[in-house]
Amino acid sequence: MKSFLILIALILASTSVGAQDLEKRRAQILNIIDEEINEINRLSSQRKNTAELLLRRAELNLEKARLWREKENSDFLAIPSDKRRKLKKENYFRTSTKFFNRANNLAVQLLRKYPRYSKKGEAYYILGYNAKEANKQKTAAKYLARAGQTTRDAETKIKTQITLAEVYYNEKKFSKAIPLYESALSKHKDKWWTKDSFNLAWSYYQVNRFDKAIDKMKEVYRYSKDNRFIDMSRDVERDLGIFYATSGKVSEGVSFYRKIGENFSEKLLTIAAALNQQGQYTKAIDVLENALKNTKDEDERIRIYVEMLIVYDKAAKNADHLAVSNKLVGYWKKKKLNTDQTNLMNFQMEKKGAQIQRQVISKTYRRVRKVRLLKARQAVNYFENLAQTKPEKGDEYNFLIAETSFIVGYYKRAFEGYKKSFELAKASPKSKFKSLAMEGLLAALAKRSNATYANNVYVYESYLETFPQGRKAKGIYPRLFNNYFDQKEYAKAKSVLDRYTNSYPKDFKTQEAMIAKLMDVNRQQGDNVAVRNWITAVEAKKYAVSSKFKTKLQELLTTLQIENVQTELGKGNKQFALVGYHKILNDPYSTNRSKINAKYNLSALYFELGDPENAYKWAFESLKEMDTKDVLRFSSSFITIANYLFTSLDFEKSANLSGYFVEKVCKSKFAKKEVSFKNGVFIYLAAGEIDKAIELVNRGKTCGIPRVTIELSEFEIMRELRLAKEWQRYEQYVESLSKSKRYSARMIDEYLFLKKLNDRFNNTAKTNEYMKKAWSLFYKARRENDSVSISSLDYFADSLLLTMKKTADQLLKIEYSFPQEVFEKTLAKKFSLLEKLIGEASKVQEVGSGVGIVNSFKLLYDVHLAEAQRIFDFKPADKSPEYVAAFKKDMNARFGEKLKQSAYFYKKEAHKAITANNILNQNNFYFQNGPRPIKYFGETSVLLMDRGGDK
Amino acid sequence: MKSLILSNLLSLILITSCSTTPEKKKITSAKDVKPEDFKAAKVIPYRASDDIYSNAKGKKSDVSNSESLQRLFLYDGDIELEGELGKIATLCYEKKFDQAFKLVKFYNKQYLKNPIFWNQVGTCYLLKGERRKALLFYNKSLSHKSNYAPALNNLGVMYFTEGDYSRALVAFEKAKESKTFSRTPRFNLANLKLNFGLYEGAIEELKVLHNLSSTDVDVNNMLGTAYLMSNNPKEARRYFIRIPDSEKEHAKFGINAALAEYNLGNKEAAEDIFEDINEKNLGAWKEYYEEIKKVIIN
Repeated sequence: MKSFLILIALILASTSVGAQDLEKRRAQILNIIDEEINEINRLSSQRKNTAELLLRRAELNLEKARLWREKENSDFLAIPSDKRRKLKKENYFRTSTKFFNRANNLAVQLLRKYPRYSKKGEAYYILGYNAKEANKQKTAAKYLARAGQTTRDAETKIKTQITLAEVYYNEKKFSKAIPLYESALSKHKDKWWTKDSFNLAWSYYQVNRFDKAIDKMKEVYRYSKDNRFIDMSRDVERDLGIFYATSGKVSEGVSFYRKIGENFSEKLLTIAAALNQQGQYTKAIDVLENALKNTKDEDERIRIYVEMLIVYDKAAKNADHLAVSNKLVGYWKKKKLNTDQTNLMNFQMEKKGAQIQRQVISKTYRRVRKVRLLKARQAVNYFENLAQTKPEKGDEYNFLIAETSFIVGYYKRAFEGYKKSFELAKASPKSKFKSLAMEGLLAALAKRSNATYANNVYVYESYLETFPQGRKAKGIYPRLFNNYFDQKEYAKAKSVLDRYTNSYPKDFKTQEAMIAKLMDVNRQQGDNVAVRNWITAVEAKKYAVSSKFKTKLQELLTTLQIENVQTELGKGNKQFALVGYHKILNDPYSTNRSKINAKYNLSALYFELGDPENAYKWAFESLKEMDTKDVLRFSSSFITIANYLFTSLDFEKSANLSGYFVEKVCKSKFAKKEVSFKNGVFIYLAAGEIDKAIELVNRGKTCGIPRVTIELSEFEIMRELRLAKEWQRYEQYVESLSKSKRYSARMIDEYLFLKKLNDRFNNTAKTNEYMKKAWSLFYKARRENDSVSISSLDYFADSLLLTMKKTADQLLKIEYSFPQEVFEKTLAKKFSLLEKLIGEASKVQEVGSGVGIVNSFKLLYDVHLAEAQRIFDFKPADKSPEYVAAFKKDMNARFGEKLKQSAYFYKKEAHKAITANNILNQNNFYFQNGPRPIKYFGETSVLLMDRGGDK
Repeated sequence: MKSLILSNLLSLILITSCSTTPEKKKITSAKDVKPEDFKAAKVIPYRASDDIYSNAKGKKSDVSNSESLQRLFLYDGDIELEGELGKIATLCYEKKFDQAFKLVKFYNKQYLKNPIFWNQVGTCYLLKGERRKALLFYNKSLSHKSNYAPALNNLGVMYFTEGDYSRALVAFEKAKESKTFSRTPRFNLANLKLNFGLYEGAIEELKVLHNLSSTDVDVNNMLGTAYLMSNNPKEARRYFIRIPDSEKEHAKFGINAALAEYNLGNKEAAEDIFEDINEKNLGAWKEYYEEIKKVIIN
């Protein structure tokens, strides 16, 4: 049995420390163990299972299990930790477990079969060991305690102590483990001594017995150089540094490691890392701080700083973490950091920056302003560092700087951050921070501290440059415009307007507002050219504006164009105004309204100058272009100018202006329209322009000119047509007016004239027709008590006089003759006719014509006188003188004298009528008292009156 | 005969204010206009003192000299005309209408509201034969002074010459009544009435005129004629003899004056007068002349 163990030990001792060698050696040992197991199995089959054989088999299986466990452990640890964590550990330890279980079963079998076996302590040891390996520390402790009590074998006793110490060690019961280790290891030195002493050293360390721990560790290190012991030197090199580092004996550590040719700083870092991993951050920090104190080497310092970052992070030492970060960034700037260090530094800073920023944002610190501000500054510091160390993400870090600053009210810093972020993002087309930074800029801009002209312009221009049709662009254009405008940067403001127009060609409201402002400036500067340019551009539809605005622009331009002239006119500088208005008319840019205004004013000025030609020209021109509203507004002027033209003897122009004025105000209710109409018609007629008068009357009919005025005008036209001998048209007017209630009576004259006219051409049909119409109208006039002209009355009286004349002729044709009966019959006949004549005279006089009265009296006078004379002159033939004398005496007295008296009576009546009624009749001369009519022809003597004469 | 008289008279009409016809400056360019060109012409309102020919001298036309130039031209009168109104009147009676109208255009603003001026313009057009224009300006004159006797009278003249005697009568009556005392309308009324043998009415008007002037040839002639119509040749002769013989060479004066002598039995005197009548230019009197000639000369 021993021989096997020795063999195994030799094999192990002779092998090198190389992993491959170790593997090889393990395989050899396992083969040897397996050979021995086979041998025992053979022996067991021959002489049954003795206690000895069972124990040996258990021991061999335990050894085999330990070897496999070591291998499995090594293999398992070789698996990367992240993978390892996910694996089922037991799957990797199956073989060793199998052998442990087998050893355990054999030990149990032995103890059951041979309870009084002298070496049952060894069996308990096996069970304890197995329990320890199975991590059943209590069970292990129970078995090992029994093993220690029952075994008689010193070696087993020691092994039991060591195993039990290991159990305590695993249970971190270092105070219990230490005496067991001390006792066992002082008596026994097998190959595992170094390993177990290593545990003892750690146990010392754990109970702060640093000196003992260091000494033990150094002892383990020495023995590890001896091939007979398991080599724990690497573990010692690794862990001794911790002891030195954490016990304040760094300088000793340095010398230790220097002696063994190792870099202590490196070790310290490892230690720190290990401590860190163990969660012993304070110690790790101590280690690193101590390490830092003891090295001036830049690289080492950097590595320490890097490690520090990790530890500070774990220990939540933000300020220290930031300070170290800053240091490292300093080194980074000097290009002293390698890629890993840089990455780690960046990782740490990103992590920490984000972490702190979250705290800043969170509610936790909102009421703890100082802390919050501190954290904000820290986060900003990290992001600033990162912006340097990771320039490719500069846009992001500057954005984070800005966001953090903004949230704690560092608006200026926030603005800078957003600005920088935006600028950097612009360089990388896919950066999402372009829009985010811009959003931030807009938000920061809203804060008073940032609201400067430069900031505004920067942000708005940047926004519009980057997002010309962005969601907010529409609102930004006007703001940018206003900034430029307020700074009197009008050219730039205009450029904003142009850009806005490109982006929002249909939004006229904003364009209008901008144009209005810029135009107002031009207007204040008196820059009419610029204003015109605006209007030209608007007219050319370069900008969209409402029709209302367009009208206002026109009005503005009109005002501009006119106002200067108007001002001068207001000052009485009419000569300037005259020239000014002409300029407006010659200016191709003048608005229609300006031109209308200019024309109107020119007419007024030329009127004042006494220049009818130009007054007319411009009045007419302005009238042509004015709307009705304005024409009515300036109606007095137009009427005055028309009157002026009349007084200037420019009849046609005056009538033209009046007529056109009527046309312009045609549909309006304007009192002076009728006056102008009348003036137009009458002046046209005076000027001989009958056709134009007719045209105006026709127009007047559609313009609400009262019927009475239309008929008056038509009556005057008719008269002119008669004078002009335009018979056809004249007749048409007569026909038309004969239907008028007002003029039908007056048309009697015209029908009589037409009758007379047609008489000349022997047009009997027409003559009869006109006569009929004249009589018809005459009777109508009498019925309706309408006035009939004297000439017409004379005519009708004359017509009736013809009847009288016939009767008179009939009377005068009858001659007296004898015998007596015949004479008396003739006389009776004559008197009958005289009576008829008197009746007819009465009818003539009823007509009411002075001429008729006079002429009828004259006829009565003439006939009576003639008949009296005939009586006086008649001598009956073949009668005696006495008879004749008596007859004549009787006839003269009875008839002749009476007829003569009647004749004088009629003459007297005629004279009375003539005088009383001022009857203007050429027959008046017949009623004079003299021997013959005295006449007077005074047509050429009628006198024009130039002056009113005496008062 | 008439034109002869006119040419003789031209030298007697003195225009004292403006010897040349002023014309409006033609504006060819606005730049040539001077501020003073805008100076408003001084408006000359109606003044009764302007509305009379106070310096007219002419016995034959004495009764109407203060109101009418017409017979001054005919009867060798003498007048000192003042100012543009006088000149316009003169030019129109001389039928120099273009010149007259230039003056009208020149002064139209100054006299815009002066009825004398527009009455004068109306008369110019009436003399020119443009009836409607005359009518418009007479109406314009009346629009500035309603019942302005000269305009009303002249409208009567217009109607008279057109043969519309009834309206002429009304116009003359209105003109006469529009003023406390008016000479020309009375003269015209008498003239019109005599034209139609209304001698009684004529005598009524003429007596008033005769009281003003016993030398006026037309007044004396019309009065003589009126009395002759009333079969009072004796009274008629009183007026006819006041007419200078030279005037009786005209049928208007000669025929009835001769007839008056004849009716009084002064046949020789009648023949003398009648034989001196100039047979040329008898005009409307021709038929009557022939009729009376048979009575007197035979």
